[in-house]
Amino acid sequence: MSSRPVGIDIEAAPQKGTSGEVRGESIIVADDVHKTYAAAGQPVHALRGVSLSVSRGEMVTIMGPSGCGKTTLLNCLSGLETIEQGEIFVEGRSIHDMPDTERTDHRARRMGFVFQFYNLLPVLSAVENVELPLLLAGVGQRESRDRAMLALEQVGLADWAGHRPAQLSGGQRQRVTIARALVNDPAIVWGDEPTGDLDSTNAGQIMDLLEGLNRDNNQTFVIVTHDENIGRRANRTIHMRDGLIEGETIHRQLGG
Amino acid sequence: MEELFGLPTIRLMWIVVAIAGVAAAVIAFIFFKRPILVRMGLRNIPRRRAQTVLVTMGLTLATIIVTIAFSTGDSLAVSVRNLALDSLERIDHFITTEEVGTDAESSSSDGIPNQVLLDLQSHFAGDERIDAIFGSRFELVPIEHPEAGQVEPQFFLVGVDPELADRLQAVRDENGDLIELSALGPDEIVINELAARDLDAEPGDRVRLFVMQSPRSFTVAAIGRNAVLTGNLQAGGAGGLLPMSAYQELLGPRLSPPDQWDSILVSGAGGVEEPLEFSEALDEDIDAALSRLERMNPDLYLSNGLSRYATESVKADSLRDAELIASVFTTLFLFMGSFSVAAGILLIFLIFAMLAEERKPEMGIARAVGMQRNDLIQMFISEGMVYNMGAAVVGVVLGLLFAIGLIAALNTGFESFGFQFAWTVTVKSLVISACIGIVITFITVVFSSFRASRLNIVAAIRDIPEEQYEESHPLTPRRVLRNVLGVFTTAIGLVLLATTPITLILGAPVAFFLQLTGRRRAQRLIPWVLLFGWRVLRWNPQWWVLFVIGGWQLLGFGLDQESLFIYMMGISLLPLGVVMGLNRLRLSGRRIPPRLLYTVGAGFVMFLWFAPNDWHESFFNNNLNGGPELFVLAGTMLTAAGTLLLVFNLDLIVGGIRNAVGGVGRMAPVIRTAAAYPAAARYRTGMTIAMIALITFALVNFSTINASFSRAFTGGDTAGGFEVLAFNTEVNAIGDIRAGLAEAGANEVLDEIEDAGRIEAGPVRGTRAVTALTEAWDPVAERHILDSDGEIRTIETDLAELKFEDREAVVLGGINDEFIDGQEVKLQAISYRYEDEQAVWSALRGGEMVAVATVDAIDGAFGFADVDLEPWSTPDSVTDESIRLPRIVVEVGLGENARQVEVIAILERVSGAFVDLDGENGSLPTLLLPESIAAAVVGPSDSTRHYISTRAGADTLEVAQGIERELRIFAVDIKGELERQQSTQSSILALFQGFIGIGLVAGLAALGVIALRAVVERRQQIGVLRAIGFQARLVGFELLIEMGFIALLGLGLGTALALGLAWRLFAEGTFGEISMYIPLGTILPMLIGAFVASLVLTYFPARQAARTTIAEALRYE
Ligand SMILES: Nc1ncnc2c1ncn2[C@@H]1O[C@H](COP(=O)(O)OP(=O)(O)OP(=O)(O)O)[C@@H](O)[C@H]1O
Ligand SMILES: [Mg+2]
Repeated sequence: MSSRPVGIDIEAAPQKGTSGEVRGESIIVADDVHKTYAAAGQPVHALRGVSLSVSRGEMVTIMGPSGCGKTTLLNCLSGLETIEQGEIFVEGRSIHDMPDTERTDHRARRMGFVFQFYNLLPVLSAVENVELPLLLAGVGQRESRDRAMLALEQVGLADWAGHRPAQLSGGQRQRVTIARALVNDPAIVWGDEPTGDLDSTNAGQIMDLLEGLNRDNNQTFVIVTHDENIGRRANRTIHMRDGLIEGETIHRQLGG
Repeated sequence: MEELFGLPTIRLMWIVVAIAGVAAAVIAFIFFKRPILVRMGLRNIPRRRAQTVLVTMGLTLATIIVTIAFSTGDSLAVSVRNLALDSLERIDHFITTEEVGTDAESSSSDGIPNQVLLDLQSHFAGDERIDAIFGSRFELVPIEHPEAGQVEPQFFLVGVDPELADRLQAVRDENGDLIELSALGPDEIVINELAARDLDAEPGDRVRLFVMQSPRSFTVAAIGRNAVLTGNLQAGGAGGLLPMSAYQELLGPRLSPPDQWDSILVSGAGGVEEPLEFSEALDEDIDAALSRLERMNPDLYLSNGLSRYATESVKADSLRDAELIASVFTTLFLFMGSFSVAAGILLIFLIFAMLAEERKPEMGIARAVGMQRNDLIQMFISEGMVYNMGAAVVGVVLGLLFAIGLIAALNTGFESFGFQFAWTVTVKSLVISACIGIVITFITVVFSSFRASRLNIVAAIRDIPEEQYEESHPLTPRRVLRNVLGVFTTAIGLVLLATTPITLILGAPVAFFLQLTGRRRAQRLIPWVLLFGWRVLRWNPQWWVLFVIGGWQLLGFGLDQESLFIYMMGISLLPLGVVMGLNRLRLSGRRIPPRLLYTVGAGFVMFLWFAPNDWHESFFNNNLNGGPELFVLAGTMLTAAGTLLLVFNLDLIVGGIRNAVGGVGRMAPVIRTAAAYPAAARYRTGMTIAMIALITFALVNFSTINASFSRAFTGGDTAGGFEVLAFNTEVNAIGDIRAGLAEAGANEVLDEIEDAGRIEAGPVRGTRAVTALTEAWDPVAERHILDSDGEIRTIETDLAELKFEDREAVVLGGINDEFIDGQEVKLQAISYRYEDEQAVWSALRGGEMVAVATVDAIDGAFGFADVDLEPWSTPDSVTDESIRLPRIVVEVGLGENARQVEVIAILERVSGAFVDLDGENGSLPTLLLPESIAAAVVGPSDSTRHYISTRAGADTLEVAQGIERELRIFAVDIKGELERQQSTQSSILALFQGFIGIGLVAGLAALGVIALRAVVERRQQIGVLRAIGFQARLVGFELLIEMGFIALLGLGLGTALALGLAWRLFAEGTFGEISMYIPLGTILPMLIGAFVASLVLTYFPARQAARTTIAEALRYE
């Protein structure tokens, strides 16, 4: 296979990423981020001054009670959602100062997403779903297909490439989503309760997969979860409450 | 309008009112029994405004179409009726000559002897029903208005007794005020409105009438209403009126013999409309009187054994014609509009399916907590019926507005005829339109509600596609058996029920309807109708069983009745039913691939429609006949089959397109998703394609067939190579047009003339074929005949079939040499004795005893020599050189004038149409032969036509006008006339196309509906796409491509099917020799317009899709 290997690198985790990106530097920096929703006339302060920093190659989980603003934070950090106040830098660039097209383009090239539901287009087959980001990034049809198949192989679903999402189980669907999130070799992978819909065995398998990818590819993972077991498998867990960061737990030092 | 489809409209009204009443009763029942369901149904209406508008639009279509049809019919009925009444005024009956035999000498165009008038007057003296029986005279006399420089060669001058006309109050001006004829001075004339317009004349102006070239001046005393008595004797006819004495004096005893009348008129007592009440009886009495007089005085009444005098109740007949025209138009509009109605029905189905899908989770929960399916149906019906009532009102109003526009447009088309339609509508028509709209919509809403409420509770709550639910109810052999048995047990049950009141309740309306329409035959369908209703009421209609059994029945019934329509309906439904049944079949858990089934089934149906009628007839060894109603069926069935074919192979088509254009870099993901969505939603894609295809089919088919006809009849060929045509009249006979022009000093006109051809025509009775043989005539039982290969063969024939002893009337046209020089007439077949066209024409030029004939002379019905016997028949085209005419010798004329001439060629039908010399003689075949021979047989001709070909570059209109001005004979420039005809025709066609195209609104609305729905239901998917890097505009673009793709499929399918069917019909010879012509100039703009409109319509949903905010879209509800 002549194409660039996707996902897991064969060599042991190096300190250097694919393009001179140094593990440990700050890849995401948020400073005093505020986000308010106006629901039913009553403003909801979903984020009330959040500041944080995530290092390249780090795996961070965000935990907290329902409604505390985890999803909102993730969406703001990844640029899916606008903010009223504060600043967010991703890979050194202010994500909210970019025009929409550039931000979209940035997502297509540098980010991968895994949501809890609604991840896949029901009308496309698994492999077609997976190759979509590559096609968006302008990769040729044939190469896209090869790389998508490789990614599916890595999540153990090569045999299901032709199936539609409706014909897959919940765990399989999430694995296809992960394959899609990783296929374009992104710098950051965002996950909003990627295992929320799964039983613990399946959830464990998904986490194994993510952990391996994080370790081997120097990719940064930011994952929202309710599951303590999953939270513990990250380098660090950020605890939120009422739109604010309450504190953090370091499980493992980066690279340790 | 009093009648439609042979049904009195008043009865029709009560029928539809009754059915609409049933619908209203259903709603009332639901309302009083379960008001909660109505409230729940109505609650949805204000929630979705766009949706409500679209639903109403779909529901409105049927009402609009029906309203247009009926109010156009009303307008035509009233206008034509008023026209007839205005035109006939006090004239109720004509005494005319009626032919009794053809076996004698040439008819005299003599008038009716005065004695006939006197006899009738004395016979009916004292009859209270009659105000007057009187004679009148008329003649075409050229008229000139020197001051305005206007000449009108076609001016019908009428002469009547002024005192009588005044007593009858028979002549009125345009305001309906009386014109007193007895007050006219000796040199005063009344002209009609058309003449006033053409001559640019007003009362007080001086005009000149020309009799045998010599002018006489008159002062226009008044402008009379266009009427029979003011010379409006033909469409567009300018004319005028003189008191009898002045008329006599002007025309002189030769042209107007004092003891003869051109027509005898009867004026009924009481007024204009009153005599209609007894006109039928009076007509019979006059006829009886004439018969009696005939017996008493055969010499006078049956002068030559050829003709007798007969009466014609012109006014009553005209009013009947008005009715007929109106109902023909209404039928035509209903027929053309049925495509739109069908598209509207599909739109309602689609919208209800969308509504159901949208509400599926809530309906599932409602069902889960104990709501009956019946309740859901009632909910949908009440919701739908509210739309329906609104739509009926909107539809009637819109329909009336459209009709007003239509009448206005028709009026511009009819302007040159001096006739205007007045827009009218009767209450009856309004009631019928509204009720038909309500009924059609009610039935559709009920069906849609049944379909919409069919849901699997679990599937609904979990929002799983319904298809998977279907999967879980496969059709095992046991189920098939149960279904079939079910149908029969239902049938048996029905028989048992026949003795109970339930049958009455269910069957009575149907039986009542069939009774009313007097369709005894159809009554045997009652059980099937009941069965159908029963199955529907059982809520789970097994359509395939109905299709198979119903199709089979219709097939047999159609063959039995020799009705192509019923047969085709049956034979089209049958395979579809079989396929639907097989699709549900499971044999040890395995199914036949649906793609295979539907491709084969739909392909077969298409084959059936594209196969020629002969194929069907020979397959079943049966005769099958059909009319234009087949177009509707063909459109429906072909569209259904074509849509199935497309929808079940969409993935292949999409794959093909993707392979072709997929590699276009960044567009690849857009094209991929745009192609995937329609393929995944078969039902709505199919419905939308079908709607667009149906209307496109109607438009393209209609345009193609009409364009082919109009090209054949108004194309350049029809002029036969001549540019200007001029007509002699009795009063103004120009023998030699060149000499006439030279004498008038009109050299500038003369110089433009290349060939001054001439046909001197006269009817000849008593023409018979002498031989129609190749060489010899064997009187026993054999005839030698030329077969299609040009070989002479001997065949046995039944001599009795050859009516060679019968003498027929023909028109003989003597042609001069310049005619031969100027003509570019095509010959359809040439005698085997002549080499080529050249030889034919030079034989004619040489004054040989030869003739060329119009096709009718040889072909069946009118032919004097029916040589259209196997194996020789009239060839289809000249290009088929091997086909030659056998030797046909005919004897023309009787007695010493009789001559035998050989028919050596046949004029091509289309290019022969210009010869058309038989205007006044009905439809007589024509023989063209050398002038000298014709003159010998006919004698001096009083009907000469000049066929003029002009020099290259000449202004033909100017030549025609010059001839009119200088010679005062009627002249037309044929090309210009044809162009005018074509443009009138095409503007009327455009009107019809617009009417058919109304249905496109449904197709476009469908696109809008599914686009709107897509935006809503794909919110999260759009969110995901945006999250993973789809640019906002690509999301919108994707939707545009998707909808554009569906629109293209619909437009393409409709066009292909329409052209396919047209091709089959033309190839089959349905339209005779007319060849198919595809009017790309009409079709392409139509298609492009529809496509652009579909994009414009999708633009708004697409923009909405592009504006989806990602985070909110992803927020799961
Ligand atoms: N589009 C919106 N409009 C109004 N309010 C919103 C919107 N999105 C989020 N909120 C509110 O913002 C707050 C934070 O919501 P968010 O979805 O971020 O919580 P969460 O921590 O992800 O909760 P969970 O664990 O249940 O997913 C909540 O109070 C929610 O009601
Ligand atoms: Mg959340």
